[in-house]
Formats: sequence, structure tokens, C-alpha cells
Amino acid sequence: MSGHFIIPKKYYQFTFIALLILTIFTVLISRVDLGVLNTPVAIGVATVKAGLVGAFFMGLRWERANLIFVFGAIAAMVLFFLFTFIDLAYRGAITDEVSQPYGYKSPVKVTEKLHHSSSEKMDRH
Amino acid sequence: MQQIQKRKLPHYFNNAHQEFEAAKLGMWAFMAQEILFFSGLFVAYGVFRYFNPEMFIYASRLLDWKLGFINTIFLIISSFTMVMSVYHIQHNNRTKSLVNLTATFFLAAVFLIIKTFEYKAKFDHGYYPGMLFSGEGAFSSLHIFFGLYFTITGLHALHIIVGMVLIAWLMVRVWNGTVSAEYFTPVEMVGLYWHFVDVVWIFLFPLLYLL
Repeated sequence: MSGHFIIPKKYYQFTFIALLILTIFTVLISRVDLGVLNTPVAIGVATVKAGLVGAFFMGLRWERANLIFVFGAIAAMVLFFLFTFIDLAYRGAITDEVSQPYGYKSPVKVTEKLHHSSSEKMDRH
Repeated sequence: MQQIQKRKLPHYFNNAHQEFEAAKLGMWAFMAQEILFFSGLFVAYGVFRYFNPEMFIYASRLLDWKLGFINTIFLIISSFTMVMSVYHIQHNNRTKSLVNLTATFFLAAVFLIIKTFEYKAKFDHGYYPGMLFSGEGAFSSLHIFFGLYFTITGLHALHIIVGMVLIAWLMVRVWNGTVSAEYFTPVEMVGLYWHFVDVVWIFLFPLLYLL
């Protein structure tokens, strides 16, 4: 295929090494309790890894028109999360909150109760 | 290895470059759909985690992060062997391309085998998906986590199986000479799909095993 751009091998090797390092990093950092930062750090590292795969393995670094699909899909995903979580955050603000489906029985055999008071509040169906 | 087959350009394309670009356009449209498909599952994860934050922390410790970690490494290596296969077919080195495709195929198989053992270990504790759940735990909402776990990783595993079939098909085509440096579109397109499957796992590993 004449005139087709071939991505140099060094980009693939760099991406591969970076992905391995970031994978080890994300496991190590998960052993440390960062409090509220636990989730943002883990998702941040995963996003960087996904970005590396996208940019170099999938060649988006050299892509133009097709980027519209990637950014379009990501934008739709952001909207999906946004509207769902706006709903969740303001449940019970206007009407009474229904915390549990009617007549529902959990199939879990509850054995050990951890952190009594707080888990009762959080542990909803 | 058989002789390289001369490919006849379909009459509805002006040239090989246009054909390649058309294939890539279609592939990216499909990938956008795949992102949306998995986003529904990620939103479900987010919603249930929002309602049961402590249960999710408890439940993720019931999974073996070491197996998840090994599987992550295998998938990353398989993504690398996949791009190397594309690279070698672009340089008309069909033998090396075939070797890399074979490696990708076996890494995918190892991923599924490890996943099977993981599922087996969960089933042994009664951690089945949905209404089949019969396990015990500290939270009465524990079945929600395993419902999500089996749905998301199951659909991901289904993507791996589809990828393995496609890679096997590519191995045949590289061997019989219907793809070469002159026409490598199928190898590159399956490569895109395979990296997408890798990206999904890159998010699933911390969300399910580490957080």
C-alpha cells in the first residue's frame, strides 16, 4: 500500500514499557490508603494507560477525521454519567426517597457485621 | 507459507488507500458503539458503588488481585504482540507477523483460562450471578457486586473470545498470502478491536480488584 504511513517501532516499545510500569504503579499505589484520592488516582492512572494505548497502539496520534468518533463517544459517556449522578445526588430532595424495592429479600447470608452503625446506613439495595 | 495472492481492488473503490480509509472509518464507528456499550456497564457500577461504598471495598477484597494483575500483564503483552504483528506485515515480514499473531492468540487463551479459575473459585463460595447467589458475606448487598462482576467480566471475556476467532482467521490469511504488505487492512482493523478490549480491561482491573 504505497503512501501508507507506518508507525515507527520505537513508539510501540515505549508504550509497552510505559504500560507495564503504570500497571505495577497502580497496584503499588492501591496498597497505600490515600483516603478520598484512592478512586481518582486509580482512574487517573487507568486513563493515562488507555490514552497511551489509544494514541500509539491504535494510532490516534496520527489520526484526524476519525477522532470525532472517539471524542463523540467519550462526550456521550460523560453526559451519561453526569445526568445519572445528578439524579442520584438529589434523590429525596423533592419527593420521599424509596431506599429499598418493595418485597425484596437479599440472597446473601450475612455472617460478620462490620462497622455496625455506618454500614447500616450505607448498605442499601 | 503460501505465495502472496495478488488482490483485486473492489470496483467501488478508486484506489487501495481509499479502501483502507473506508475500512478504518467503519471500524472507528464500531468502536464508538463499543465505548457506548461498555459505558452502560460502567455507569451501573458507579450507581451501585455510590449506594454501597463500603460493600464494594469489602467485595473487591474477595477477588484475587494477583490473578487480576497477571491477566492485566498478559493482555498488555498481547496488545504489544498485536501491534508488532501489524508492524511486521506492513514491512512484508509474514513469518514474524504470524509468530506475533500466534503469541497474541495464546496470551488471550491464557487470559481466559485464568479467568475460568477465578470464576470457579467464586462459584465454590456460592458467589453466583443474580438470583443464583447463595454465598455469605458481611453485607446483605454483596450479591450486587457479584452481579456486576460477572456481567462486566463475562461480556469482556466474550469480546476476548470473538477476538481469538478473528486472530485465528488472520493467522490463516497471513499464512495463505491473502494479506501482505500490499493489503494488510484486516490485520490493522482486528488490531484496533484487540486494543479496545485491552483498554476496557485496563479500567476493569482497578475498579473491580483494587478499589
